[in-house]
This record gives sequence, structure tokens and C-alpha cells, in this order.
Amino acid sequence: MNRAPVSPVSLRNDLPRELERIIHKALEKDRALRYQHADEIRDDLSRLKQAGTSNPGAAAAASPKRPIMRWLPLAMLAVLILAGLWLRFAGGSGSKKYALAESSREQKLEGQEFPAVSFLEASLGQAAAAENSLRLYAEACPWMTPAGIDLFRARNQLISTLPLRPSRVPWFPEHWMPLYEARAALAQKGYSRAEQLLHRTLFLHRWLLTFVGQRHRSSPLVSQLCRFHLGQGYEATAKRGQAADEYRMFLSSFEGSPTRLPQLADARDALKRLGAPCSSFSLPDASGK
Amino acid sequence: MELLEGQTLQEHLPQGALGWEKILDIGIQAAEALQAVHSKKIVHRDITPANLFLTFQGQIKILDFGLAKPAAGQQPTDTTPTAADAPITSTGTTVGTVAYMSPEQVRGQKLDARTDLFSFGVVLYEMATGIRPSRGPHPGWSSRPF
Repeated sequence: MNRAPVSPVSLRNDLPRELERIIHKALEKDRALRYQHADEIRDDLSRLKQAGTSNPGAAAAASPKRPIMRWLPLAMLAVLILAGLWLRFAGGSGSKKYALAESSREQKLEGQEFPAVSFLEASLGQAAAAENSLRLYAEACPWMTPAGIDLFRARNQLISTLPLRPSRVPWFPEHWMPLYEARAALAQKGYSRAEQLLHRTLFLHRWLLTFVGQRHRSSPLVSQLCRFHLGQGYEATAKRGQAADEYRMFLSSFEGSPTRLPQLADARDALKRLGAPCSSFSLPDASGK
Repeated sequence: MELLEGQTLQEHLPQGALGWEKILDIGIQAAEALQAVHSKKIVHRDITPANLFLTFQGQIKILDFGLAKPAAGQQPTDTTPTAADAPITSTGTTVGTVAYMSPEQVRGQKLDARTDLFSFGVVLYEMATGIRPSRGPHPGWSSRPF
């Protein structure tokens, strides 16, 4: 590992020299000479991309596209869908939903994904609400945690007919589940249950942050979303003062943040509905919407 | 609406090196996601093609925080990837994961966000050329046990 890697351009002459420079800088063995921040790489790559699109000569020099490679995943997807449909109807089960849930449970590895599956099963009557929660969750996270991956895989197995590969689950954060349960309870108008679950989640997360520390620092979003959902619950049960407080707390934790979490706009609208202005904070404006 | 459907970069790469415009698209998005991770003071420590997920909509997600740690308080003994990290269908992944390690990670030194940037560089190299950069006199150096 004392040699510099072979130059990419020597292996492939259609590569821009600048891309090679970027790759070599990222691969510096001495980390002081390397890129120091991910956004430096992002900026260099973006600049190269802009140069490429404004210079048709460079664009023409790009490698020839292979259309078959672009269609291959779609074709495979179609085959999988057909296979899934065939399996489903060949089974001839009376209750399709139930059979699907059963078979997905059998395919799970040692029941490790069971909490996520049972959550989705509980929400199947509320498919739209579950779908929406998952979408909000996906948009709120710039990356996928193992819990998130499990949720989406479980959802895919339950709702779509696509047969999926068995997955591996390194660990499953049990402490995320009450939030999902609370969302399901809210969707089913079980407000007291939702309130109980949300307070439990808040307590649990405060405890985790205080005593378990570093490892869980990555998900303050859970506590913040709890505030938002508590606001929804209080608003629905006409506890206007408490609802406004929760919404304000939710908004204040994003003070000065550039995030475009969709719940921010919802909370702002809710405060307007409640006749409680949120003027005391400098909030991220809604220009991103 | 299918949210997590697509393939990992690892499944994508055997189709050969990518066009450089695609490399830029993937690279820019992945760098943004990495920046988001690092801004939370987390070092991923296992950036590989198997952990970069391309949805059919062309978005990039970083997967598997099984090795991720907060930037402070590293334990070098934890850096060795385990066989449990490998997907069931692929046998060479443990070796592959080592191949993406930065020199300081291989040596078991204290790590910061820059180790992820090195691994990301290896991924960029592999996307551009279809092979991983060989860094030693023996092509099999990376299979040495650490």
C-alpha cells in the first residue's frame, strides 16, 4: 500500500482529467492532504458537471450510452412483478392480504423484523396513513438507518407483490417503535393512546440521550416529531393551549435550520388555525415549498 | 410509489464502468449525503458500493450504519468488519470492505470523517474504471487478516 494507484485515465481515455484529479485527491494516503470535508468533493464534482454540460465537446466525448443497460433493471422488475402476481393467484387464497402477511412473516429472518411487520399489519387498514408516515420519514432522513430499511422492506413485502431478497438486520432500535405506534394510533383517532405513547417516546429518548449518550445522538428527530404529533393530538381533542405549546416547541427546535421537513409547514398552518402566532422565533421561511 | 426499490452500487458495478456523467450524478448526491452524516458528527466507517443504494428514481441513499460511530471516542478494535455484514449472495464482501478502508483505518488509528472520504474515493475510482485501485505489491494484500 505504498504505491499510488494506477491512473484511471490510463485505463480509460474518455475520462475527464479533472475527475482523475478529484479521485486522486480523495485517495491521498496522508489525510492532511486529502479532501477535508465531503462538501469539497461535492463542489468539485458539481463544477465538473457544469463545465461538462456547458461544453458540448466534452459531453460528446462522454462514453457511448448503452440503452440496454438502462432498460435491463426495468425488464427485471417487470419479470419480478409477473412472478409475484403468478405466485399470488396460483395460491388461490381467500384472504390475499392475510396470506401475504403470513408468507412475509415466514420469509423474515428469525423474526428479527417482527416489530416492523406487526406495525405495518396494524396499519394495513390505514394503508394511506402508513404510506404517508413512511414518505415523511424518508424525506426527513438524508440517509437510511437499519430501522428504516426494515420498515420499507416490510412495507414492500406487505403492500406490493414484489418478492424481495432476504435481508440482514444488524440491530433493531426498539426505541423507535412507540413513535410509529403513536402515528398509527393518531390515524385511528386513538388520541389518549397516542398521547401516552408519545410521552413514553419522549421520556425514553431523553433518558437515552442523558445516560446512554453518544450512540443515540443521531436521532433527535424522534423527540422533535413527538412534539409535532402531540400538537396534532391536542388540537384534535380541542386542547388549544397545549397544542399551540407543542407546535411552538417543535418549530423552535428547527430555529435557523435550513431543513424542509414537511411537518414544519403543517405546524405553522396549525398555529395559524389556533390563532396563536409564532412570532417569537425566527423560523425557517417557507420559500422552499 | 415504491420508496426503497433499486439496487446497491455493488449490484450495479458488474455491468462495467459507468459513464462519467453518471459518476458525477452519483458522486454529487453521495457526497451530499455524506456531508449530512458528518454534520451530525457521525463517521460511517464502511462506505462501500454495497452500502450506497441507487433507487430507480436515481436517488442515492447511504445504508448500513452498523459500523457507524460518533466522531469522538473511537475504539480501533471495532473497525474490523464481520462476516455478518456480508450480503448472503456474495462471498468476497469482507475482503471488499477492507479494500475500501483508509490507510489509517487499516492501521487501527483514530478515525475522523476523512476516512469516509478516502473510502468514497475508492468507490469513485471503481465507478470510473470498473476495478478497485491496487495499492500494494501483492494484489492479494487486502485479504491479509488484520
